[in-house]
Amino acid sequence: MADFVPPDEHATYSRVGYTLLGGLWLSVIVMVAGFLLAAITGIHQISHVAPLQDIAAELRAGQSGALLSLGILLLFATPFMAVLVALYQFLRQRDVPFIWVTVVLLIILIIGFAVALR
Amino acid sequence: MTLLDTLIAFVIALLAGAFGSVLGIGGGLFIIPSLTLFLGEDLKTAIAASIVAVIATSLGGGNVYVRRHVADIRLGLLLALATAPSAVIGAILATHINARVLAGVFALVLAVSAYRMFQGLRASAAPVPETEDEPALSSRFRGSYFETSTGQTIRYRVRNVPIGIGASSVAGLISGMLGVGGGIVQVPVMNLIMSVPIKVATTTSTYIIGITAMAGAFVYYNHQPSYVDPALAIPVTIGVFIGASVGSRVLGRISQSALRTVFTAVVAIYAIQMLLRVFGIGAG
Repeated sequence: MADFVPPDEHATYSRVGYTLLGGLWLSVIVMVAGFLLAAITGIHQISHVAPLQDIAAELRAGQSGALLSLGILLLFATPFMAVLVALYQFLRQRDVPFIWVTVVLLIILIIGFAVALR
Repeated sequence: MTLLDTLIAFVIALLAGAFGSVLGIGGGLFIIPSLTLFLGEDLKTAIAASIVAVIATSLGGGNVYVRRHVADIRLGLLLALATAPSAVIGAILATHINARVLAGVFALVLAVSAYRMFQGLRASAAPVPETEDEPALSSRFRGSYFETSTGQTIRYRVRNVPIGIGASSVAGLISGMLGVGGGIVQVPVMNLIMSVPIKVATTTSTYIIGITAMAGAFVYYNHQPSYVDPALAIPVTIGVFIGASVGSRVLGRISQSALRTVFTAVVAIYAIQMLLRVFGIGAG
């Protein structure tokens, strides 16, 4: 890390970076766990992802496909979480232009999810 | 998919991740044609698997570049305003258009990528030095990074922000439609149009593609029936992740120009194979 970075800016980059790293590892661990469960219960069960509305019920039923789907969704959620962390940091820094940029981006992403769910 | 198919998908992704990390390109250009050619996968299913892997590649590389303060978060978020919605549009288009049309677009992108790799990234704009009389808007888009090779802090000012945002929508469209990172467009846009140093452009592109791909990936996931096949997408994702992590260490001893030559030849062959598919010749 270069020494020219102000502490609050360093915190922003550090927290966004660790959010990306943490989300990646969490999703990979869940995916591997799902694969191990699938190997025990039969790999033919995992040819399709679980629909969003069914994941919780399928997880409770111990289905490997739901665990794999959860891993994929955690991977999808990680960049979104990193944008949220960036917004929190910009609010702390009172960086008004980029608070607006981040809020608009989050709205765009939420609209994108809504369109995909239709 | 059989267990052997899963293993083959993993090996393909491992190679793509390793080559991609050394050559600084996304793995999708290699993964998608390989999955369709060697495993007979449907093109859209291969694209969905690739776009999931692109997110993992972005998170794996992006977290390092962000923490090292080389990738520019603010620039990335700004450009994502254009790439994210266009990725959703691209993904929706891909799920609705004929597979042969999609193969034609993919062949074009492969051909352009092969040409660019053949040439190398020779044209690189010099960073624009800061001046005292900058307009207020431009002064919001300044940045700096520490160049480890020279031990110097490189300061730059981002130019042509509105044009850059507009051009980035093309990168998003390509990413969502073809399941690739879009760096083939995004990096030149930042470097040549916006005067961002090449190192910042490539690392910021890596950071952005996670946000972009995620927006498009959700469309593939929720399509009925879903194009995301976990038995394909997860081995590909983990393979790319491992390949990218160890690639530079394993392939580091081989000359980069030799690797580039081999990879360019493979991508060019895949471009021809995709083109043949447009005319109904070949697999898928």
